[in-house]
Amino acid sequence: MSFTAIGILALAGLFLMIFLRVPVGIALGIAGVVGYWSLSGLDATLALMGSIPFETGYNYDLSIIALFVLMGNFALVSGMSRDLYDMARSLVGHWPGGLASATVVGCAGFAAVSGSSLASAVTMGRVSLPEMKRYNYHPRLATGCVAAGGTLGILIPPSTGFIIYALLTEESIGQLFLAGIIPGIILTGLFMATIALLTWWRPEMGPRASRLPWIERLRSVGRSTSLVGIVFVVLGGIYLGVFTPVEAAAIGAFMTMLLTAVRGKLDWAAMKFCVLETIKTFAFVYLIVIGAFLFSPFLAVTRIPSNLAEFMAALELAPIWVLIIIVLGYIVLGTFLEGIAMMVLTIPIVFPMIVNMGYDPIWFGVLLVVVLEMSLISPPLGLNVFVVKGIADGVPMNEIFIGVIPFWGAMLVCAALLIAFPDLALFLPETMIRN
Amino acid sequence: MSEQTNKVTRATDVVTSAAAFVAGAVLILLMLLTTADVAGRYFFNSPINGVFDLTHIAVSIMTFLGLAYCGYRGGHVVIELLYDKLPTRARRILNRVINLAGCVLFAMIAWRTQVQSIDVREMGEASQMMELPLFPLYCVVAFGAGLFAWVMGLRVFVPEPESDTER
Repeated sequence: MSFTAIGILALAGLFLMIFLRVPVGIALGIAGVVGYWSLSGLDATLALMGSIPFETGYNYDLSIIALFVLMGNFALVSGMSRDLYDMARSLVGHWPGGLASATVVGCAGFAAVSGSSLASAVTMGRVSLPEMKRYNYHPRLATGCVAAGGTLGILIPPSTGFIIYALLTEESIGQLFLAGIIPGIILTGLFMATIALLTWWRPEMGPRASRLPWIERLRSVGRSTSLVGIVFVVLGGIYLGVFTPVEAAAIGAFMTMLLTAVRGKLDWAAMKFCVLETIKTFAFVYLIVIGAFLFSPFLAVTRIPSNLAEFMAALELAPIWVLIIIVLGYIVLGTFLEGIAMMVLTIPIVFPMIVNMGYDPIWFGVLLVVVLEMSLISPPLGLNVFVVKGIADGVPMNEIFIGVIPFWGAMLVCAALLIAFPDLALFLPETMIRN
Repeated sequence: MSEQTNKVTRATDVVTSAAAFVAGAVLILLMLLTTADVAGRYFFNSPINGVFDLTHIAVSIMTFLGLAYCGYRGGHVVIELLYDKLPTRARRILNRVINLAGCVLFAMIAWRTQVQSIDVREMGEASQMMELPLFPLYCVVAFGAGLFAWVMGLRVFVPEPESDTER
């Protein structure tokens, strides 16, 4: 059997294992080890197993995941999601569909301290769904904006998606984070525009909430300033080259911990929860990374990535068409694969093609994350829809999937904007100050 | 569940939790150390030496001591496509096979890392800046991988309670 055939066989086995609920990291590890064994022999494989897991863990940049997840967990127990929502609600709640817009803005704010889309959707959903129910919002709009808004978690830095991308491609985490800021703000705006259009078409979907007096508004903005301050220190510090992303993560986690303590929310139980949840999430992500690094030597031996890149080059398609094919492929894959798994499986194959065609790797990372956001709300397996189902009592799954369709369209527009105007992503990383 | 299995699961519970607590303590120390390093650099003009090395070591400890806890407590969202369509009996068998495969994979990783640690000790491999010897860290990694293998091995015989229930 040719190397390529064995490679394809292993890929097929990998997909089968993932469908049968084998954790992605373990599936990758098994496929990689068995494949490498069949191509390079037992001795080489055993040597690989003795060195790769250690080397994967002995990594400076990986600490960023743990520290930012910790920061997100502190933010979670501090109750600042409530403050963020209150602030957004006091500013835009009296618009048509204003409570939904406030949810999206709240999600964007929470995304700036958390790297997880699921956490953003759950925390903001718990605060905003009862409020929208009280004002008789249509369940489709209410759940749709939470599920979609939550996906901002992986676009607005800190972002687990960018960190994994950086680990797999050896790109700069700091540049990726900065590249996500403007597209994140644009997508937030597109979500709000979507809500405005929907409620203009069907005003009864999102009735206006009561307008709050100015003094109340100022007060709720005031309560969120400390959080906004933390975000500015963390991202500003990276932009101005004051500290590295790892240091920014540590400082961000530390400041959020202090803030939580000042608010009297940091007792032993909360601390234990934050730390152990962080360790759990970190180990879970790490398991995927270790699997990816066990799989990639095998994939390299099969020469599938280089063959595919050559094949695509031989087709002499215009790069933009190849790019569009890749994006469409991701959208299809995203309907049945989980985001990080999809990234880990495809980056070794897709990334060389993208670089060969002369596209900017940082820009592609942002585009990829926007497409991953789409996968988070795509049926049948959109994870965010599942977690929203868990907190929106009584709203059937179908309703939520219908509710996210307009937001899915907004994401597609965002992806198209990124392709048309790459500077939207590249402006901040290109002007950042590097040490 | 027999008395003996009960004891084994409880012991596993204690050991994985203890490992996770150590990992958590390392995480908090890493946060404080890095913050102090930056503060020292800008406010007191005296950065802490060796933070770079210690970060590497901290990540190794956190990942490998956290693995078994993560595996034992699960807790992440899993969504099934084919799995949901299987009858309960087939699911049980499948879960056992998956855990067995994971157990073998990580047992081998633990074994090979332990073997590697002997080489590392002989070669005197050390961290980049502070030249701390790395072989004890290899032993921690081997222990963590072994504990993870143990947890999955246990699941072959004592299935996760929720994996059997209908959802």
